[in-house]
Amino acid sequence: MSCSIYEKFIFGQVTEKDFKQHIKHCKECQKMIEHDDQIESRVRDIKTVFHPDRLWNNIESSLITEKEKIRNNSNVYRMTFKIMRTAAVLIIVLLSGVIIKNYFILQSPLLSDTRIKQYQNKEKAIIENIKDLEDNVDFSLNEGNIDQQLRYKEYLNTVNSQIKDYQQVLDENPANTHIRDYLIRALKDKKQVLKEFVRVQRNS
Amino acid sequence: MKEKDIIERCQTGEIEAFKLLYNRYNRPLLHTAYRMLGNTHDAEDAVQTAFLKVYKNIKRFRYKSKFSTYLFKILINICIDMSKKKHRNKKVELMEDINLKKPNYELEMEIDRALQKLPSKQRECFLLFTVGDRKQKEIAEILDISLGSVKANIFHAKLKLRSYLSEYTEKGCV
Repeated sequence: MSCSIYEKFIFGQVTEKDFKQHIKHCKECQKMIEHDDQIESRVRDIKTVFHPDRLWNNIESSLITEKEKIRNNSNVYRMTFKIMRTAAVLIIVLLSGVIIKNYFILQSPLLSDTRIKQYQNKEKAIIENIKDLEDNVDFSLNEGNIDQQLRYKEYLNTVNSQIKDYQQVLDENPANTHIRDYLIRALKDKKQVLKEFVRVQRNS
Repeated sequence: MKEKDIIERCQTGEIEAFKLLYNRYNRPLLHTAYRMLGNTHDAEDAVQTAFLKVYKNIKRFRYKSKFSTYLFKILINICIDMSKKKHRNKKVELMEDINLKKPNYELEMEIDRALQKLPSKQRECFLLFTVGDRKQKEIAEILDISLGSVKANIFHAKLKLRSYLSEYTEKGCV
């Protein structure tokens, strides 16, 4: 192949007009074009007989199967989504519970120095009242309703041990609000029981 | 009916609309696949797989290219995969069709052998251009190569085919 004009034309190096002029007299290019056309038409000319209708039936059934599969998958997906959503809500609720417990209940807020003093004054006042009441109580239980007095005494022992525990904790951390509250409550309980104790003994 | 309308119907999963697309494209698709794979059975398998793939993915088709480009791209990839598998299994069966047992079948076989001898890109470009009836610009999009590369591949494919088929050319069969 000595003439390269055909190649140049294909790659856009020669214009269509020039090429048309050229092939009028170039036998080589004419032959190449003729051969190319023949090859192209031979490749295009497929003798095999296809059966497009039969093939469509196959395609259609595979598409229907696929459609079913997609539908089933989406049902499974929807169910899974519902289950996962419920599970997620439960997990969130549980986690919130744990967070609330850890951060708002177990971790006691600490008291300021002024508040500690206020609490201590309150405790002191109750303890003084308790001391006064204890002076009026006869713990030997010689007279009156012995059973009731025994019950009061037993309760006082319990409250005393609670008060002792709370005071031990507060010695380590005087700013613990909750223990301060529990202590006040225990002291008030003790005061109330002593009052009852005195009343019962006086009546008898 | 406009192609865009058909595609929109396909995107809703309407199988009847796929038939319209099939009727429009089955011939160039089957012929391209046939020339790439060398037998009717594989060609039909490739077209069926291509349509199934289109069915699964058509919802994501956003008209960034022509639908035919998208369709041919899928088909060409399927054909490439199938030929690779065939080569791996060493079961290259050329032109086994009973339909070809006609006077011209020897030449048909020779053309197919010649096509199989071409480098893959040259064969893909040439077949999309001739059998697939695609424009060179569209071929460039389908194969993700430049227009210049498409032109060169087609030209070299023709040169090689001319030399492979020289015996038949001389006889005047081609």
